[in-house]
Amino acid sequence: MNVQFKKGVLELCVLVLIDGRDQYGYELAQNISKKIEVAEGTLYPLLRRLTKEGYLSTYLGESTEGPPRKYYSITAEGEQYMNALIDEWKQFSEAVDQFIKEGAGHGEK
Amino acid sequence: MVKNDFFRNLNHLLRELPKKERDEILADFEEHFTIGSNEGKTEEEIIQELGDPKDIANAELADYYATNPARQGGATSATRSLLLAMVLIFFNLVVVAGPAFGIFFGFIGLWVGAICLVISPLLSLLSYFQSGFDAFLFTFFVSLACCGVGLLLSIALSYIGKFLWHACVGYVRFNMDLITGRKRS
Repeated sequence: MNVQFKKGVLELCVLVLIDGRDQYGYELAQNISKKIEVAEGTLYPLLRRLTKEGYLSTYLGESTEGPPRKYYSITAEGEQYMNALIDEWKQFSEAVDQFIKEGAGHGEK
Repeated sequence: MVKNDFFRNLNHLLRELPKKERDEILADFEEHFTIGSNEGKTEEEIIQELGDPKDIANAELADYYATNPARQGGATSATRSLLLAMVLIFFNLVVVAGPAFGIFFGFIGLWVGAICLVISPLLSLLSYFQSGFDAFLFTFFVSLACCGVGLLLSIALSYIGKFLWHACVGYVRFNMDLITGRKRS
């Protein structure tokens, strides 16, 4: 997938996934890369930025194996931001779908 | 590439950031590696999944400079640059130019000397026509020794030349940086 395109959408995916359940970085990276081809390393800068902007907060959670892990959870501000992004995404993807439908229709005639 | 290389690489690429930021970033990746290897992945696999450290560093640096502007106060910087340029030109003309020319011509002179020494066996042929074979033999061997010295001198000079060139480029760059106010690390 196009890199620029992915950048914007990844932010939304990260927020949605963390909104669903608090996760640590590695877990989140795995969950995303299962479905979207992404360099997992670039998720960390994204997580750090979202945390600095106050959309995410972090806490240390114990794990059964190894040292405690840094969990990310969404803040109230983050939820607001996520909902705004979801609306934007819906509008955007509907418009794109529309274009594709019309374009494909013309191609067949 | 193994884990250590990855960290060294990333640390180097992030060198512009304050140590605190860098440590935080590296700690996150340290955690990632720990969990990954607990799940049975090799270091290579984890690095493969993480992708190019350059991309990670670029994203971090972009975020950092977006919130921490690199330099403040652009209003006075033009006047500052102009003044600095004038001071530097004056300083370079008065203090730096003399010794620099001296070194330059001294260097040229040494090269001429070295070249003369190297071709001296050819010149020794002249003595063959002037004073006969025995004298020629003597001058020839002496000139061979000179040729050797000349070759050694040329090698030394080519190293010195490289050094002088780098010093020159470095000094010019230093001047440019002073004027533009850019910092290198």
